[in-house]
Amino acid sequence: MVDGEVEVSNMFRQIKVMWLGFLSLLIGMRVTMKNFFSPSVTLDYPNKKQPMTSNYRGMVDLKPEACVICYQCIKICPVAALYLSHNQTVVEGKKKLEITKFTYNAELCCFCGLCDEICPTDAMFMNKMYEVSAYSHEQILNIDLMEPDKYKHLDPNYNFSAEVTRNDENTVGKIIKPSVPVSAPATAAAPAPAAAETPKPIAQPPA
Amino acid sequence: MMDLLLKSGMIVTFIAVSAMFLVWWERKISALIQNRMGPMIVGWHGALQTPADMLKLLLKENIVPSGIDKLSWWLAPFFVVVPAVMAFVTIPFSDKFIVHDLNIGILFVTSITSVCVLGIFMAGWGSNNKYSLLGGMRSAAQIISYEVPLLLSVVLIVMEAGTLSMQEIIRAQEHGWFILKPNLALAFLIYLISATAEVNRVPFDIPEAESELGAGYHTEYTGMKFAMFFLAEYTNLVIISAVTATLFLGGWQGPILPPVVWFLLKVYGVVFLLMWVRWTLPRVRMDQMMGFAWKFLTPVALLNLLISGWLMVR
Repeated sequence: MVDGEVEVSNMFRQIKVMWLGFLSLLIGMRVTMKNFFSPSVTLDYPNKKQPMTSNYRGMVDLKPEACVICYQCIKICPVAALYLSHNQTVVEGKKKLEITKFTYNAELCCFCGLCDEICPTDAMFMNKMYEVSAYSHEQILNIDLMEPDKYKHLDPNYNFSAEVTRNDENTVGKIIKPSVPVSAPATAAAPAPAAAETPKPIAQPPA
Repeated sequence: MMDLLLKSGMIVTFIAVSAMFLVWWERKISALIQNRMGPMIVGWHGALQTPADMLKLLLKENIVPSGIDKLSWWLAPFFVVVPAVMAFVTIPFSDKFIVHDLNIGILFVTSITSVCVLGIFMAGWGSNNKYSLLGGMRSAAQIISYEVPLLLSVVLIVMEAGTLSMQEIIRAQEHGWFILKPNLALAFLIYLISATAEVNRVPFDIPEAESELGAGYHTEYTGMKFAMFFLAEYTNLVIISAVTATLFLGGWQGPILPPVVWFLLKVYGVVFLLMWVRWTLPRVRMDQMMGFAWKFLTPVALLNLLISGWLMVR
């Protein structure tokens, strides 16, 4: 008799388990349907590309007109991947420096970003290229940084002016001067609105 | 004779096209459910991905493993594909388009589709590989077990319609689909679960469980032979969906649209449901699956049959 009771209770337990399993299937199917109609989180890669983050370090790039030939990047480069030589001329009693050769050896480069950080005029920067494979050593051995189309042979979509604009907007790791001068503390009137107007230390990263 | 040949040709074309379409669909549905893109390169949203894959499989080298049982290894793909194609003989696509309306139609479909278990077991046995053998044995156990509740739910339909002919079963649903009756709705659920197990789909895909058995019975097959197993899998999916549409969802019947369109809509609706379940559930364990068939589905199907029969003769 006891056995019979156990069997009956087992049967009801079995039915309850099945019912709960069926309910959980319905809940799971609701979840999958919700995901079915939600947008994809991956990209159709070769056609659409993910924009790189603001602190991404791609290839070394140069804005030649901003360079002051201070040789800081040459000195700090831990692997000596950069080469710079210049020419000094005197024009109307004023010394004028001119870059004769500025090359970059991507084969030696360790992408540490020190040249980007040390550059006082932000002429040296690292662009956002990430498809940088080459077919031969020669293609990346002596890249002429003075040439605006220096990376066209690696990436046909490389756009120098776009990289420069992006770098000018990119402020990560740099001390930015506040755009509005902070009022002197001597003035007694230091109300709350003034504090609210203090500019943000870091500009918004490009969208 | 000419008519029969034409219809058979159309059926074979339909099988090939729908298998290609379903493979793409399955990949797309799984991708959408997992918030991915799926195939996107070949054709519109990757629509031509399956023909490309098919071409690749045709060009593959045919690798014959050593120590195989030659006869069963070579014959197995045919034993899997041919029954799947033969089952289409009695599938009614519309009131006129059916290759041959046998008076034992549903019996023919259920019996011919269970022949493919022989092919799967031959593949497992002939491959000289313990994973394949285990997969084939599991498949045999699974298909034979789930045949019981499947047939018990089909018997209920036969009792309700009073005929075994597919067209007559559809005509019996003129005034309301069979799924709308409570006892037949339960039979529908039992049929769908058993049919999912019959065609070795998730959550009952343990014969080809990747994590345990490699790919189960088709581990050792390459190229076109593998493609035939693949074709049979998706053809069987279409067959069980077509039988579900015929038995429970009123077949080709429906307003406005032509019957063929209604039939295909219902078939692909059921296919979508099965794919939806596939990408929702994980795989069950072997003992859970056998226990579910013998301890739960079969008693419930029997009880359903008993009560419905009593209500019919009362």
